Amino acid sequence: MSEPVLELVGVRKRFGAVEALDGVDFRCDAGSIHALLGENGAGKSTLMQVVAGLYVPDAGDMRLGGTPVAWRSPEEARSAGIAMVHQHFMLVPTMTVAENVALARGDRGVFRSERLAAEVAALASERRLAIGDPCRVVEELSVGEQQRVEILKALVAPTRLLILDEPTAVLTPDEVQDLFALLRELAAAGTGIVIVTHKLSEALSLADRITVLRQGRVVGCGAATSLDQASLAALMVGARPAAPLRPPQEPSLPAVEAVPALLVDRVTACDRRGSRVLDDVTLRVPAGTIAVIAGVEGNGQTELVETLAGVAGATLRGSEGRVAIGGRTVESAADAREAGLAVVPPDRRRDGIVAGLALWENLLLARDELAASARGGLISPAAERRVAERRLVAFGVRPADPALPAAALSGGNQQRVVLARELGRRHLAAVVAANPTRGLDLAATAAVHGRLRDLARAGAAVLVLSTDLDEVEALAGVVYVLYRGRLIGPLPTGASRLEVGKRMAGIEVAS
Amino acid sequence: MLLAALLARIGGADPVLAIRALVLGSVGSTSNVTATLLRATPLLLTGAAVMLAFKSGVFNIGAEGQFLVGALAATVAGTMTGPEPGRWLVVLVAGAAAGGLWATIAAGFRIGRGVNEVITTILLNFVALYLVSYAVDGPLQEASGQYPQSDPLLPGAMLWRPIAGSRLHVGVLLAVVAALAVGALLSRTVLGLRLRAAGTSVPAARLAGFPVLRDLTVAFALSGALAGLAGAVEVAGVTGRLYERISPGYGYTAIAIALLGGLRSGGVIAAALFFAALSSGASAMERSAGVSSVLVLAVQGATLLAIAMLNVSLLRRLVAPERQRPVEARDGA
Amino acid sequence: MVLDSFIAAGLMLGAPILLAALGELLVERTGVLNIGVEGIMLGGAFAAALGAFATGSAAVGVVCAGATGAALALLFAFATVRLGADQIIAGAALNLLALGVTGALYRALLGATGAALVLPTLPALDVPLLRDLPLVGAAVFGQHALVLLGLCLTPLIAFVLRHTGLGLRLRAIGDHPRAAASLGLPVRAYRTAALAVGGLLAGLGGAALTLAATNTFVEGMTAGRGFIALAVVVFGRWSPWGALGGALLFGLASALQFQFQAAALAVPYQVFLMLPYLLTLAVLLVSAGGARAPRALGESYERE
Repeated sequence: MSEPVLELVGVRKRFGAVEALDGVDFRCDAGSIHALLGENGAGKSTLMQVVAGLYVPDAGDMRLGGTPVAWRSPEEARSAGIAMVHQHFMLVPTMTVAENVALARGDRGVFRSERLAAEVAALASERRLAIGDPCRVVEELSVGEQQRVEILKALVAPTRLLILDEPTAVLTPDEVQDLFALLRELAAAGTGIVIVTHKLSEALSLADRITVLRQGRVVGCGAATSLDQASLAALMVGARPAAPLRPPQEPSLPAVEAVPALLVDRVTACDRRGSRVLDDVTLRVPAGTIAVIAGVEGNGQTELVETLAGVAGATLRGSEGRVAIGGRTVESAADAREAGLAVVPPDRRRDGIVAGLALWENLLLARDELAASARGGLISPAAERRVAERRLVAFGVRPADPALPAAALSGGNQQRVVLARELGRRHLAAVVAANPTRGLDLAATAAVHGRLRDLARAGAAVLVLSTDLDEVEALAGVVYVLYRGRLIGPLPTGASRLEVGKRMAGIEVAS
Repeated sequence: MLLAALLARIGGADPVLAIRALVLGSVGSTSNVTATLLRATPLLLTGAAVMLAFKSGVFNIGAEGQFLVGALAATVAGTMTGPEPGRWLVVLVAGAAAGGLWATIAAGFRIGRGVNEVITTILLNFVALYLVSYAVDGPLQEASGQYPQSDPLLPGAMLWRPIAGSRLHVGVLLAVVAALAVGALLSRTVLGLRLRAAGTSVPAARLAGFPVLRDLTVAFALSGALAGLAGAVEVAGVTGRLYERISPGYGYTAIAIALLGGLRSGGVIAAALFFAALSSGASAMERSAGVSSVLVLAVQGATLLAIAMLNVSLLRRLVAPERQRPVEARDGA
Repeated sequence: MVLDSFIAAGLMLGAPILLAALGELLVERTGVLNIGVEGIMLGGAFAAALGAFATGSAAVGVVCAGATGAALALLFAFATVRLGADQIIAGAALNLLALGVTGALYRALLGATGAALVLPTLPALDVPLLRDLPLVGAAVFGQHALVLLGLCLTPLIAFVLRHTGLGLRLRAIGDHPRAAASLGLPVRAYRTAALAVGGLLAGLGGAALTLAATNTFVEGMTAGRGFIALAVVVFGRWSPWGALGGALLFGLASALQFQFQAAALAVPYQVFLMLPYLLTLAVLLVSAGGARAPRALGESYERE
């Protein structure tokens, strides 16, 4: 067995109430490729960010090549030979490829663009990285090309350990093969490689060793040759992997209505750079039912919610298709609200609450709510505060003081405020909730699920987007999966947790 | 205060004497109190204008220009022939309308072309300044053609002075009412809530279904109207005519006043009175202690900077948090 | 020749704006929006007046102006970069502060007599050989040092931004400070340094106003030129050559005033005073360079 490049023992990291890493041991040998597997929120990225010096662990030891180390900044880690290629690229979008590489290299003094471009091109071909013309501006590159530039940046200085965070998420199959070949070469030359991923098949085909993380703990570790997809998937998704997500004695669905309460009709949308974020999505949610869209973050959930809420016009280009609630076409946020839509947005801090406003004011942040409460354009703060207090208490917001500014609350309580506003409404035709129970404890989560079920029973069409399979299971609705902007489903009634997990990871499952 | 004393020293005067003169000069006698109140009026109205704008996320630095065009329109309305009764009302409305329109130009730049209103409103200030200069030098110049000022306003255009022998006019009350009204608008009406939401987080306001663009335009217009009203009140309440230096920078001082007042009605009223007192006291200080009155500006600037630095987090939440980069949610991936 | 003197006047009147714009350009390229340029220019103008008056030497005045400008900018840097205060508010505060302090100090120290101040002017430089070039020779190379400084700095800054490691780092910080930080760049230090240089240049711009374009100081004499410089940066799409073009445009527009007066046309002089500002507005309407601005412009950078 070769020398370990990196060893971690008992690493812990906590963010507020969340225990992101709970005593993790990890080891990567020189010249070997180690895959770190796990679902969203398992702690994989956090662990590697600790290694790369972006976070300081609360506890635990780290050794590089046998020597104990502790970083206080990413620069220290980088000088010691640890390079990280992030999931979200750290490329300056307005500069060219060559300039970005020069920046990473720490070039000083004067340079001539042509000579720099030639140097970078040479460097790239030496490492077998196809980055095209180095004079192109990074913004214009495809995502795969950008990633290769990131890797090149990482390799300009001597590297003992190369970490890649979800590198294949954005690559085509061919590009994935090229990347793997490159990584194998690097490993053969002695570099230790850690690849963080949630894709089982890739981990199996590329890595020498695999470690599986779940909820901040190591639940499995071994040589790739001794593991297979089934056992890995079981480790990743946790308890009862083969259990069906919907109990068979589920009351039968109402017959498909002529006008579904919530309709998404062949919606396609592109982001500002022109890449497709939603690809011909069609979804029908009848009144009184619950539909759940499972998916790893970044596959189009935010964009779908924006489209449903009527605010997509501000951020997306080239939208096609139609969204209708209760038969009414939705083209703006005002339409959506008037049609009786409640939205729990994925980015609560940006879209969900207004930090500087008081809680009772935040509860009025919905056009229809506001119209109902106010008479003749006037609001009575005292009356609203009373109503607000009742609602806050009902949804377990602590402290339930309606006069407090929203900024004073913890993240979890802010989420409760959003829920109180959106789910506490009367006369809802449809509900769209993205990760509604994020930041909430078990009891609160169960309460929210109960409320969603009540709303459905009262006749609303409920759509929940979730990255958490436990939640998908608990809601027991019709299950879809969103992967790379494409909606897969509805999945058959007996679909198991494992099968859903695989689809979320992009693995084709034979029906 | 320290700064003022320092500068006084440089000016070769006795600081203690200077400060005493300052205080006495501002509230020492009835006539001084009157002077303070009269100076506070335009400050209060423009301060309210800025408060409304800032709360809505609109950085209206153009209160000065809006004041000037308001004064201009008021003078035009006040010197035209027409029915006498109610002329003062026409004057005030003209001023407000002109100010509102002037501000809407900047709104157009922001909404239509994404140009930051800080630059456009400031540029418009200068255009307004020269417009006034041109007007009193040309078309509006008094009949005798002696000085660059307008004819006096026609009878019925001036604001009522309730106390015989005193220069106090109804506009003072109007200013206080306006400031309170702005506060009430922001905290007790639907529009106010929408404005404050947009002022802090445009994405959240949009998601809530609010007509954000429309609301922003309203904010610009209302703010401008208040500043324009201030100009009209100054002409119809105090000066009785238009001349070039009718505003010693009210619109700029208003920014400091609004921020010092914590963007709240009560605070703005207090700050306006404070600055007005400083100002009338400063003239007295200049007369008796020989210290420059322009000092006031320096005090204002220093105060503002100090606020900006010390209350960083408070200010951010009050004024323009959307300018911050949203901190990435770290839910541990 | 009329054209000759027109160009010369344009250059001289545009120089203050050019210097301030170049300074602000550097600052904005690192992602900071400093609307206090106006105040810094005014501060520099006053310092130049004071220095020149006290020593009888225009050169000393220039040095004072530069130093004052840098100092004011560092104050701004402390408030915004170090403490994280809102850049717009801090800039507005700086303007008020400068207006008040210069006014007060002027009255206290220089304005006692009430008559207009007369200051030593910067001598025109006579660059040998180049001065004799046809048409532009006298106009360009017969100008004073600050004009030539502005003209030389323009290509220099353009070169640095595009072809040096320093330029890369500045641009990275302005477009994607997080990426820059991930590479180990001290974002705050660079921004502070850029502000200091920007302040220096703006201060020199003020000196150009007091000691060359006119030879006196009056309260508030910058009259919005700092804001015009801001607009010129936008108009020039954050490039030094664009800034030069914009500053020249305004210089010429201002120079028009004298041409017209000489021709005794019946246009009210206020129109000419308004012209630069209206022109700026028109330019902003047309160019609205939002897409070319440094991406992180105006956002406070917070280290994790």
